[in-house]
Amino acid sequence: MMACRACGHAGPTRGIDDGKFLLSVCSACGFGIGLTANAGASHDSGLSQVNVPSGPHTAAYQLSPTGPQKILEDPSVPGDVEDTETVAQSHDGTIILCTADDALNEVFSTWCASHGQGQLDRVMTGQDMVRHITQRIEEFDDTTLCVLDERMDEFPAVELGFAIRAIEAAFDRSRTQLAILGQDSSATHEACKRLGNTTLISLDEVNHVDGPARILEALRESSQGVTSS
Amino acid sequence: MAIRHVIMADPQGLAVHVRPLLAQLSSHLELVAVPDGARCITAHAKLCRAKRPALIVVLYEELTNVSGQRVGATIRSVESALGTGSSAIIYVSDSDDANRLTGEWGRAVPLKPKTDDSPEERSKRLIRAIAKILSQLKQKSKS
Repeated sequence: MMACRACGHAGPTRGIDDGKFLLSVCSACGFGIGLTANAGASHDSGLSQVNVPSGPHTAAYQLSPTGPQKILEDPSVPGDVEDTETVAQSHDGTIILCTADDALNEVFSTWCASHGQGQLDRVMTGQDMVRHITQRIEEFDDTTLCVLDERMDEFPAVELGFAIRAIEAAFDRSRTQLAILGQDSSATHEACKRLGNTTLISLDEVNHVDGPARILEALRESSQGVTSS
Repeated sequence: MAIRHVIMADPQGLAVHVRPLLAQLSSHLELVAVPDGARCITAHAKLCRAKRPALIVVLYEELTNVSGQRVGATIRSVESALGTGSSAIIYVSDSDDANRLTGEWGRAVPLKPKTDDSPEERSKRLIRAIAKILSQLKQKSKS
């Protein structure tokens, strides 16, 4: 049995079956482990995978720009959605990671790849972070999360957070979610509250043997609206 | 002639003295006084966004939320990201690092604070520094 690369858990995995593929995820942390073709899926025709409107439904499509737009079905009501899927749905845009730590970058790259994230941009300094977020705010405004590493001497994470908030204010943009990897102190908690929409992830957890899994858990909580861990 | 802005991150409340002196220096200059580093970044970025970057930014080393040192670095990053011209920076600091930092930022000068002076004296000294920079900018634009 393959051990999970995120948390090291060697126990059983869970499977997510969409009919054609089977995605194995760690039962402990939800980390994606492998993707295999489902043996029972039919691959007789490429056309069978294309969604072609036909039969009675075709009449319901109104392609005229002046015609009424009819929705065939109501949007599906979410049922018992697993945590991993919740995270994948909540970070569709770009995550910007500001750290000089290569290992941490590897953790986030793996996480983003396995959870189907849109894009992970890494910057090495606070100044590069400011430049990058300014460009993204002006051009795209699709940044969903900025992860700031307090271990950067050149631009402390809390000050960088306030700088990002100041730029957002200048462009009349809402507050991007921030995650600060820093010391678990009352001062940093207080700063996170003042920054708003900010999660503190303790450096003790990052350095722990289960660090990656704990980071993922904190991000999962933050994506569900928890502002301070 | 269009109005140009001088942003002053003003933790010491000098703006009340600086504003009339600046008006005497030039009727085309307007003072934007802000209380902390974060608001200084916002004011500067707003002007850059309007394609009218501040002519001069006066930064004190000790600022709340974002320190003067990081505000200076942020100003240069925002200008680079938006492709606007660089504001001149007056960095008021008695730190040994002030010369190095202003050299890194470019178009910046350090100014040693004189804490024993009265607010009026400090304001006049600041206005003299602003006048000197304006003169240098004029010479540069002529050449």
